[in-house]
Amino acid sequence: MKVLKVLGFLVLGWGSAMFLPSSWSTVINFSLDFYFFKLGLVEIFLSLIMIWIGIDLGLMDYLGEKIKRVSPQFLWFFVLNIAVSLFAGILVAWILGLPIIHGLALNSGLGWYSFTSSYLSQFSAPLGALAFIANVLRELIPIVLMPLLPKNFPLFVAMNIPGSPSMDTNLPTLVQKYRHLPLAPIYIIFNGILLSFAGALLVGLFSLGL
Amino acid sequence: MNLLSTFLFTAYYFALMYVGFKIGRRSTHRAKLSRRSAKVQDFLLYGLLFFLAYRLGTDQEVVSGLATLGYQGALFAGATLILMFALGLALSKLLKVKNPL
Repeated sequence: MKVLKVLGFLVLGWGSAMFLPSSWSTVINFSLDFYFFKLGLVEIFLSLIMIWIGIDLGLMDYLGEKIKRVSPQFLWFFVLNIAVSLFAGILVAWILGLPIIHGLALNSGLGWYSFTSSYLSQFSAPLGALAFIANVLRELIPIVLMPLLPKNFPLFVAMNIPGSPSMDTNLPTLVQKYRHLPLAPIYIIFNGILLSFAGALLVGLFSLGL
Repeated sequence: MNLLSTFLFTAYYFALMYVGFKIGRRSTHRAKLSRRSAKVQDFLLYGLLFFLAYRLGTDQEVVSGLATLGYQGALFAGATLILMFALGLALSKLLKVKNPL
């Protein structure tokens, strides 16, 4: 049921973009430009979700005690995520006959489509577009599939599947999936922050070879 | 977008979470907030998904790119997701990881 609702809202949003008059997009896609990012409706909803997740954490009893129990084991999965993303980038680039460095550069964004595509489009517009689609799909597919995973599916694996969007657009679906684990938001956000920093560093590093 | 942007972006979301945390800690309606939490998060999630899909659907780069570069992008995303899923589960079994309570 949950996955149908998620799909339904994605289809509704995409369908509205196709069928509503283009003048509506000026209103719906409004954004205030700040130095470091654009604040539109997506970011406003995301900001409200972050506040609400904070409220959830604030309502938690014995939070300090719970944080002390955070296991460093999740770092193994963070390292695996980077290794898998780079390996998949090499593998698919080889299959498609693309330069290996292109596969590495676009997949090293670890799902952060806005950063990866805008950064790589400075070097090559088609590469920027490909980075956009690959990373958008990496972000969107887990949103749809997450509710289908069994309840006892390992959190450390689930939070690494989307990559860095696990701490923003995928955060609500992950938090709801692991509502029975009070520490889940802390792991997900910390892992997402590490992935975002690693992604920015790796894209910059691999773009040196373009 | 650069490392400074990444840092500021992260700091912004952390600040919001901190605000929420303080609201939750100081609230005198803790039981009421807890009860409404799931419904509010559902509403915010569906709103986010709707506007995200709308934004992508109105982005000409995405719409035109889907036809030409779609299958290549799907291959990159699919391979990464499948490998992460399979190897993540394998590592999880290898390390005998249990979900943190």
